[in-house]
Amino acid sequence: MTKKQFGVIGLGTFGSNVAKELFKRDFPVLAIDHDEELVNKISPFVTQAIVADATDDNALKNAGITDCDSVIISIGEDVETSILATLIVKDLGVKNVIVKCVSQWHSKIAVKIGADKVVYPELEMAKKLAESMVSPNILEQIEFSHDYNLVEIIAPKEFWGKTIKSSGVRNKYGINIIAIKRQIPFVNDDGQTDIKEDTNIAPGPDDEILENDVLVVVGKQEELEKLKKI
Amino acid sequence: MDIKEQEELLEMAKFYFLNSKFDEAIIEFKKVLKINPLNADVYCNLGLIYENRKQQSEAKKMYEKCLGIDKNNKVARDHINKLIGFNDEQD
Repeated sequence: MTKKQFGVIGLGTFGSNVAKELFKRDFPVLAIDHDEELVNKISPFVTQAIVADATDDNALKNAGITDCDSVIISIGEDVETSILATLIVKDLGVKNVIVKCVSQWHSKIAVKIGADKVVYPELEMAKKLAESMVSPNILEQIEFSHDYNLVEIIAPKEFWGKTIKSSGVRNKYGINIIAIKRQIPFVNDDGQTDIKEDTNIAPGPDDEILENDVLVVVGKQEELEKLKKI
Repeated sequence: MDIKEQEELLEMAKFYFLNSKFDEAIIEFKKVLKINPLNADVYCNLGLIYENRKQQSEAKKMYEKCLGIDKNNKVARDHINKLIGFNDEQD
């Protein structure tokens, strides 16, 4: 199987970090921006970095954008350029186009002209931050579907020392524990004491929940709300 | 300063720490600090215990104390960066 190839258009903070992270995961990455300085800066961290105008279809074609399986358009600050680039990349036949948006209107237009996915990092981060401020025991929350969420929660005191079965987490709250994260003390290579995380994926009914454990749970939104309040 | 006593207490504290007996470890670590309030290793270990208990601000305070004494303490540096969400990878 050939490796997926990615393109990133717009090398601001978001775009350059996406490009670097993809490349770190061993995927070929084509990075494009009209700013030569940004292109030179990212060059050592991607497969190919090219100076090109995102609104010039020939320039994008020559850069090799049509060879990419997925293209991320990260030109948030200039909505017009972002929209034009999205249109061109879709017209050139790229199957999966993800657009970073800066407003709801931006995302609506992007979807209308064919974006396969829109991301709104500032809104997503704001939601996460707000949630972490009001529910400090919630470490992570991912929306699975309209009804179901996946949540990382600090094990409530009520569960400490109990097995999953005896905690009644399933019967009482209607949720499933899909992983238990535990901090394990150890001595590192330098002889210094440290703590590392150990994850028990798909724990059994007889696995015990300890103080300071983090539970990864899946359940309906309203059931998870009950759990958050324990 | 009684170095031998300090070493013995530290050994005991680390024994408790490595066996996840954190309440007992804290008592022993604090005894070490009474003998030597500048033991960076102790502050780092207390930071690890508080972090494990999700007492973020206490943990941060301990890592800062550790780094104030030993700025090259890698464990304290890595953990405080993680706590505050700071990523010191090349930008």
